[in-house]
Amino acid sequence: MKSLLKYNSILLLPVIILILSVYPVFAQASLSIGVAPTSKVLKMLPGETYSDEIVFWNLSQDSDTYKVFISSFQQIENQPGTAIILTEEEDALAPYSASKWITVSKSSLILEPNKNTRLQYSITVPSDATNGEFNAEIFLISENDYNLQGTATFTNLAAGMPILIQIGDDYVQNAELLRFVAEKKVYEKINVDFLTTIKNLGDTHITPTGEILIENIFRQEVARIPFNKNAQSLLRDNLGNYVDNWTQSGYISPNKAIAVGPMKARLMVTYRSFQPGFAVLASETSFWIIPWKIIIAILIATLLVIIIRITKKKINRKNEIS
Amino acid sequence: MKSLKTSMKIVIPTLFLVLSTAFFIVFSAQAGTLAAVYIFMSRLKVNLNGSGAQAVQMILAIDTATSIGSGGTIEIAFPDDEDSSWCRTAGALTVTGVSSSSVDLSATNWQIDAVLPTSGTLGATCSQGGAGTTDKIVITAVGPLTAGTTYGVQIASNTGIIGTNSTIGEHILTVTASQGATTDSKSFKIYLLTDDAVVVSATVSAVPTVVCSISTNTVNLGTLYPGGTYATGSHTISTSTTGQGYYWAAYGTGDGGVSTNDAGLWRSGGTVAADLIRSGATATLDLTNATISGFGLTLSDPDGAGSAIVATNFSDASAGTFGTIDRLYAGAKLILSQNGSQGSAENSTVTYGAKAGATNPAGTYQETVYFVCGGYY
Repeated sequence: MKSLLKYNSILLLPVIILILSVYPVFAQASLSIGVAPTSKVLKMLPGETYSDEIVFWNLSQDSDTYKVFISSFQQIENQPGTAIILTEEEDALAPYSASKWITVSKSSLILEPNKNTRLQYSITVPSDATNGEFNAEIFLISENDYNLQGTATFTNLAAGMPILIQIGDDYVQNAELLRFVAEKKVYEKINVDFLTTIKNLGDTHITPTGEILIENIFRQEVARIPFNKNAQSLLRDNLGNYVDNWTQSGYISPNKAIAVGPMKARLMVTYRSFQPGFAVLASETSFWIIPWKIIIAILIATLLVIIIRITKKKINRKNEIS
Repeated sequence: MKSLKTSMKIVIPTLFLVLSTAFFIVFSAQAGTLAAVYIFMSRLKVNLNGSGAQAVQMILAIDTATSIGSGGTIEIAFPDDEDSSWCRTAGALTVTGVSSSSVDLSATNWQIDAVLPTSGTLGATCSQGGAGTTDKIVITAVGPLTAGTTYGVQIASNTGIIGTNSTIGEHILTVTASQGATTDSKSFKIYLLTDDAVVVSATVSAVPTVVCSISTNTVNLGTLYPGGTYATGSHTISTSTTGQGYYWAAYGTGDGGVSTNDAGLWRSGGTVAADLIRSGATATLDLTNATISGFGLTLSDPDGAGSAIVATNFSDASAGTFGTIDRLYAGAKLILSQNGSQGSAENSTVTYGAKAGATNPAGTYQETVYFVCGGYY
């Protein structure tokens, strides 16, 4: 009996060790969502109804369940063209929210792998809606079935379609240029980020467009880069930070102008959809391009040549005297 | 002596002739420079044909240095080598006096003071240039212009059509106000852009799409030891889009608002601040620093020097330094964005870094990170 107990304890020990050493197991699955279209801009009238659909699909190997949210949205960190929905409380207080105007056919969706899923939606503008632009987003957030064991990070995926609804024809497009600067004052290589901040003062979104013209000290055009290449829109009552990059491999531009020394950049932006030239935002900024490594190398080389010549002359004089 | 007399006979009449001619020249053309002038164009895009959606209008503000009598003209002349591009079709234009414009600089003579006066009915014509002549817009029947007063007039296409030249950049225009012998003029440059408006088409031929994927919904961070090194775990995110570009943002759930209201790894059943391995108030966390603990993440650049950009705080350039995230929608931070379309999916590796602090009790810590993906609107 004693020996049996001994055997039991020997057998139990590895079992206990195995049980204790069980590593937390997580149910892992991939997530994927495709959306079409990525956004919608509508012109509607009070009392009007509009119906359409959004198509979602899933390119992963697993079925994923998504919950459907409808809410007004805001830009992410003053980044034009981006959207993140508001919380229920924030949405209730948002003055330009159109979330209450929208109804959808389903409150949750199961996205099967490699299959399109349609979500029908309908927008009814209240008859007392005022002129101007309102917004809402139909937004999907994944609901995952991960097991809550062990220290871990879980991920959820969210995507949607922002909708901008312009009510009436009489809306104001107005904007103010708050900042136009080069990110740094001095650059060694031509990789300049121009930072522009625009404030939308109108009652509809705007999509600023334009050019940045860069000139050298001789007022020669060195480069011309498009402003807001992505056509990122700026919501009403919002600030937008735009970053436009100018990169060039050498210091000579394609039209043979030298891009070294003090440089001047001129910004010209238009944003109105009708007669845009009548509302131009313009500004100038200056910065330096100093290829200091090349300059130091040239200086050292010149210094060496001078030293060698002086030394040679001294040796020659000594030889002449002797 | 005889030769002197002969010389005087030639010199004196010649001198008289020259002086009298000069007198006439000086007093017959009172050419001056306009005190102030601007042209404010409705469109700044190159190569507009002036018709339909490409119609061009302009507002001219003009202040003469000398007063000009009634019945004069104002002429806008375009560069000689740009014939037929500004005046797309010759003919009459619509001309209306205006008392202000949105670019008026108040309290200067760059502010329109009054509508352009007329000596009858203002008229304007657009004429095309040829060899030695330029495209011109001529306003006729202009009333008396008083020096120091800035007058405004708006010109729009009618049977004559105003367009724009096809070359991007500066173009020199000359504006001349004249009546009889009195003339004031000034040349200045206007700038034309590649494009000045985003055209929203009613018919969308190709619906923009965006596809976003995450390789796994669970990342194990192993065991964290207070005062130990930081732990890492990773997955990839991938994106393709047919639109103008894409962006990714991230936010966490953290303590659920129970304690410090921050994102981070939260101990199961926790109730106090010590139960949270915080993502922190600073933009980044250097977890290689012995005194710093917390939770953050980095992303790899999907295309090296390409158009996808990892937000500075979330760059993986410095090993051990992680960008911090905040809670819920309002705390969403932009982590990755791309200019322009991306036909096939490109990947970025998301690496989480976590280090427990001395005050964090033993237990199981978890965080749910929400990745928001979209195409620019």
